[in-house]
Amino acid sequence: MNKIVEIKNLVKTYGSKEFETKALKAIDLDIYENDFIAIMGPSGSGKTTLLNMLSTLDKPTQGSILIDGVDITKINNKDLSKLRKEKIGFIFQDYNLLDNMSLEDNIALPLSLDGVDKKQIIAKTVKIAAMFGLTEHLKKYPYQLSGGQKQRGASARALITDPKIIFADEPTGALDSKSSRDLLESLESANQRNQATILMVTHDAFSASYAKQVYMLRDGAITARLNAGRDRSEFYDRILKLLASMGSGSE
Amino acid sequence: MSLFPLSFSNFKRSLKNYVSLIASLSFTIFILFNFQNIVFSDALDQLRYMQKSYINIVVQSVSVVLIFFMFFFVWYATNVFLNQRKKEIGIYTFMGLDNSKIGRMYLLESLFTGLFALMIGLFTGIIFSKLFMMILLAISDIRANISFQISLNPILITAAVFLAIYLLMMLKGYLNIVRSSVLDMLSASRKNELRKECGWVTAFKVVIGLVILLSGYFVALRTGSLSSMGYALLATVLVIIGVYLLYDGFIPFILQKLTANKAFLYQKQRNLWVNNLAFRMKKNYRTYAIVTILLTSSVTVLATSLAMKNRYDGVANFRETYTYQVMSFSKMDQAELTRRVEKDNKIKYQSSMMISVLKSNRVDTQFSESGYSIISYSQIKAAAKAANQTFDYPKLEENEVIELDHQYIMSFASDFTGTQKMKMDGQTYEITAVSKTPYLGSLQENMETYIVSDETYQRLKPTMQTLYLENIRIKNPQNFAASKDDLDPLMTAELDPENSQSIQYVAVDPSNPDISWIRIMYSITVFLFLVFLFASVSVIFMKLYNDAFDDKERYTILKKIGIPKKTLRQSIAKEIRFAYFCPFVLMVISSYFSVHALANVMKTNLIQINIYSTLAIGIICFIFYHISVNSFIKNIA
Ligand SMILES: Nc1ncnc2c1ncn2[C@@H]1O[C@H](COP(=O)(O)OP(=O)(O)OP(=O)(O)O)[C@@H](O)[C@H]1O
Ligand SMILES: [Mg+2]
Repeated sequence: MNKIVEIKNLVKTYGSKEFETKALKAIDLDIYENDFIAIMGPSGSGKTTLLNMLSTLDKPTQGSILIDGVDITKINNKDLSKLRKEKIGFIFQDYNLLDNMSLEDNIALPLSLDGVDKKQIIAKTVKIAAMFGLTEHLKKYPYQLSGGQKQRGASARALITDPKIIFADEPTGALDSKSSRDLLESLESANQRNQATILMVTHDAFSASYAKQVYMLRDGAITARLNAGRDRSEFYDRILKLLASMGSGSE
Repeated sequence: MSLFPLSFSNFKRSLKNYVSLIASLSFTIFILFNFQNIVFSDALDQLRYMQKSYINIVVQSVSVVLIFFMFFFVWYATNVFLNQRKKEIGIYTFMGLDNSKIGRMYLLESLFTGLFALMIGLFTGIIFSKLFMMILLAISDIRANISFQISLNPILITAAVFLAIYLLMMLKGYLNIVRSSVLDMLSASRKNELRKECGWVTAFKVVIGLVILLSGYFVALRTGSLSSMGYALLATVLVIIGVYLLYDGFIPFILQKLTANKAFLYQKQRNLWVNNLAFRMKKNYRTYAIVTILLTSSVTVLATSLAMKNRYDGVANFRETYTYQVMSFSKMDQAELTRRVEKDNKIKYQSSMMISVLKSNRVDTQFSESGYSIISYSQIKAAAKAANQTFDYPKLEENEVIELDHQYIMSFASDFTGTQKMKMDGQTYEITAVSKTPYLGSLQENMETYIVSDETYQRLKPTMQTLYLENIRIKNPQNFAASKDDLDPLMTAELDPENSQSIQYVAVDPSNPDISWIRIMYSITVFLFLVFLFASVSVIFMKLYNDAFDDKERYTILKKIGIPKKTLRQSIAKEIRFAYFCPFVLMVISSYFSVHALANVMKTNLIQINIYSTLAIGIICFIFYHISVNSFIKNIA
């Protein structure tokens, strides 16, 4: 299998010398095509920081990140936005749908701004909306949608460009268990049917149990890794046990 | 907790956010001050003593217009910023401040802002006052020495008027804050953005708006002479309502249709900016409508004063042709007159004429005048050549005449149309043309004269009294008074038809003080036009500036999901282009019709107003568009 993300010796420190916070301390991580990775860890452990580095929203202090063989810490802004546009999809904790357009237009946004053929965009929007169970909500504005629908909308928007890799920061953080399950199933199907690679940050053991691997982050370093087995509930139990042993418990 | 330091530090910290408020307040202060400064300076004194009443009326009405303008502009600016501030201020409620405290804080912050703006406005106003006055006088074509002197009065009046208006608005904002809930404050800037209305209400607005606007244009086209002045009024009302409904109905409707048409929407950056426009239209349509109407009206006012000035120039032209016109009922010694004038002046050109005067009972025309006179074709042709006037009428037939008319300042009588006849001594003549070229100089203003063929003239001359005319134009007409004492001794007490030796003359002052107020009015209207132009455009600017704050979040999201900055910039530019150029285009169309109607009423060609105002407004819009795009991008960065 192809290595799609390669993180080497990634360090991120915030602040100046005296008030330094080491948010990430020498992280090494390889992500392969079609992986579904969950990153867990207590609050302040550096999860969002790691994701921000990966999604190029922030620059690391040290180390390198290779996405599809390109070191994103070294390329210029133009190439960077090209890479983000073509290969990466983002799902945020707080939906981040634009309130001034319909759900349909929100989902179509990345493609429509990219000069893709309009017929193709329309077809793709319909298809991906169906995948996320949003078909009947397409004409609504975000304020007319529930939290779960918004999150699925944001996910649909992230996936419409067929990104090679999807970064998701606590996508289920604001959802109830039913909406969480809907979203996770959609992600799972994107992973299985569309061969998308997913890196998801989560607090929640149930969400993490949808992944194929779970990494534990603590004080800016990876401290443990679990691989999924055949059965999700068994994986869920193992995750809970690991969390308990780390003394943080599940939330 | 003491409010003063908190408010002051707030003010300092958010000075950047206040920039556009302070800029717009300072602008109105600048304008008002400069106008007051003109009123109190001695530049207009020399004119004022000549035509005190007219100039005072003009100056006073403009002051009233400017104060009204200041009132609404300050109202608008403070309102826009109150909404923005409310959101910010609302957060203080969570810090445990109650509404009345927050209100007082708002009062203090506004006071700092207002005083700061007043300082800037007066300071820049004083610095630019001389330049400003020079420009105004140059447009008015008035020669006056302006000294750089600042008196206290304009400063005090400007400050008083501004503070009165501003304090009133502050109070309004204070009451608004005290009476609103936290939730209101936090969501203040989001209100009205989404307002769905039933389909048939929209359809009604679309249809009615278009019908009203188009019929307004149609009525404007039908406006012809003074008798159709009612039409002009009707057209104005229809166009204003039509424009308003267009922004409330037709344009949002089109935008909605565009956002629904995905094949259109999913191209270029349209998904972003067309959606944004459609989303905002419900909130912003009043601004667009007001700006469009304001621009159209200021173009129309400008056109009115140009029409007046055209007439003024026409009248002035009559006074420019000849400096001295000497009349007698017997032939005069031209050489003697020339010699006397040349003592103090150089002669540019001169001519001699014979005019035959009829008693009015021998003439029969549409209108009745006290005296009529005739002059031969070849005499006029020769004099016109000497005076360098065009005279390209074909030789007249026996029964043809050309009427010599003059320019009126205040008359809307319709011009010569089609063939008309006149009767002299029972014989009918055809009036082939009416000329407003001052072939007879200023005398043409007081005499009803017809040019007849040489043969007709020779035939009628023996039956009439002949008035001999010596016309002299000196090189420098301003110096007309110098030769008076040389000419006066030749003159008799009055021009008496019974006494063929009687001789009289007129010496023409080219500056014509009677109507020079029109020039001032003209330049003041140009000035007002520029003020309203800037005001309208800055209203759009403020609106956009305010919108940029709302959009901050949206653009953060867009950046986060990986939309390249370039795409965002292009989308912003397109959205802002619409905000400036939609009112612009509507203004160009509407003002075409209004100026056309005005030109019909005033019997003059005003198409240049359409061209120049379009250019001027286009350029200003273009400049502001660029500033807006830059500040918008800066604000969302
Ligand atoms: N911009 C910043 N400036 C300074 N310190 C920062 C900044 N962003 C994060 N940190 C610090 O870095 C550490 C890691 O933060 P991060 O946001 O990655 O945590 P997290 O694992 O996402 O936590 P949570 O689960 O609460 O979201 C924290 O100690 C945080 O205070
Ligand atoms: Mg986080």
